[in-house]
Amino acid sequence: MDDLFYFIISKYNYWAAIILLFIGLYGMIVRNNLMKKIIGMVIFQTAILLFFVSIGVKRGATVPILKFSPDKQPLLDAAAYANPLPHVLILTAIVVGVAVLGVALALLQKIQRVHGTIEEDEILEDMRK
Amino acid sequence: MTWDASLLWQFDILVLLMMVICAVTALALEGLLSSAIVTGVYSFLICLMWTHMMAVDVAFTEAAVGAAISTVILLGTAQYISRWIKKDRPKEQGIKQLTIIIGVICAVMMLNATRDLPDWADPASPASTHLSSGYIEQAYHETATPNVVTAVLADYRGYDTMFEAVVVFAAALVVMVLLRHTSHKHRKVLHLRPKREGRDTVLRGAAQSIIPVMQIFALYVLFHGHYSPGGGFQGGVIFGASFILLALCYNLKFSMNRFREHAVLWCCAGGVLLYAGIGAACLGLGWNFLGYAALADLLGVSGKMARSHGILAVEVGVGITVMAVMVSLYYDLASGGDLEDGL
Repeated sequence: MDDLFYFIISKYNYWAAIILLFIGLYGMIVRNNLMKKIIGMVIFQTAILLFFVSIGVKRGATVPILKFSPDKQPLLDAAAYANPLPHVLILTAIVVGVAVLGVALALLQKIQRVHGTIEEDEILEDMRK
Repeated sequence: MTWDASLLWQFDILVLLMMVICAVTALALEGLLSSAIVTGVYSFLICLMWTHMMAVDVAFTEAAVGAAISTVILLGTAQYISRWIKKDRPKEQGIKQLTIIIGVICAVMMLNATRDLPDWADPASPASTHLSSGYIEQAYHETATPNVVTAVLADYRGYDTMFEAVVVFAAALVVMVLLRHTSHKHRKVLHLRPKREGRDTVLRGAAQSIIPVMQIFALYVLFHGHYSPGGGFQGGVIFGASFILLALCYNLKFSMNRFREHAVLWCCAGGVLLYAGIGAACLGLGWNFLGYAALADLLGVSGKMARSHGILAVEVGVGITVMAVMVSLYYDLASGGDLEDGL
């Protein structure tokens, strides 16, 4: 029983990331509305980010900003701080993510103007005409 | 087989569960406006997760970018499209159902593969024992920057950050090119924009008192990024958000009179130029591109302080670009490209 409990609490973050990943993928592929597809893309992206940051977590560690002793010496114990590398990668990825969202929304507005709809099947019909 | 109680798994599971519910709701709702709002809620929830995973810089960015700017540009776009999704399902769903089946199989395989991943929060996991411990142990001696995230972002991985700035700059240009020139036939959609009437006295009063504080806070976040969570990305986004708030509480013209589009574009390019220029200056002084230690003689400080100052300078460049790009995205997306009126 303890083993099972330990197994669950040592993996649940990965499971959540995978579930969110496939919810996002479902939105991107199956939903008919382009706005929903874009929201699916946002969810897909955050699932990957969640997975990345999960890798950097360390038990008993604090934020990756160095602590100083009273005589101004930094505490340089790697085990005391969370892994900073995933944080850096994800921080920039979030900002690029909003740039991608902006481009996607601009394309969406353009599609609306040209085809008069953002429903996938209606756009395909309009293009066949 | 011991578990440290300092990681609150109960809290995590609750937040993750709420995130899954929000994700499903955002995709299932029929109204696109409510969908956009639920996506904002989702961003705030993941922000809690970042904070709990000790990724404070990431949480800061997510709160400013994901929860604020993303929601605003989603809502801005929702003005120009149908607010409701079509209910009747299209006929041919065969290939999509096949995709769902393949997706479920992939999900099961990936869930099975998590057995081989290192345990969550294991300090001895491969990701936490190789490169990252080197960063933590050396960053302060080499760059005099206590915030390791800032040091890695702007110094060790300076190229990465520079090209991220180039990517957001390119995105702002693409949005402008896509929306600015619309043929007359296609302009009628812009009349869907609701007319704004009356004066929102409470909103305007609140905006007047909040915006100056926001801007000072943004500058603090930018310049204090060496010692606390924050830096160029976060400071820039908050500064950009102050102009967006101004446009939301008054109107787009009011904000554009204070921060003209011309100036926005100069800032977009200027930040990237500042970043690349500092890299080129280091190159000119006989060091590597972005090797800030080259600036030591010029500034009259030691090599590691020069790296600290170099980090600050490129963070300012990143901040200017990100601020201008966020404002530019809002101007174009919320006005549908004609810059007459916004959200």
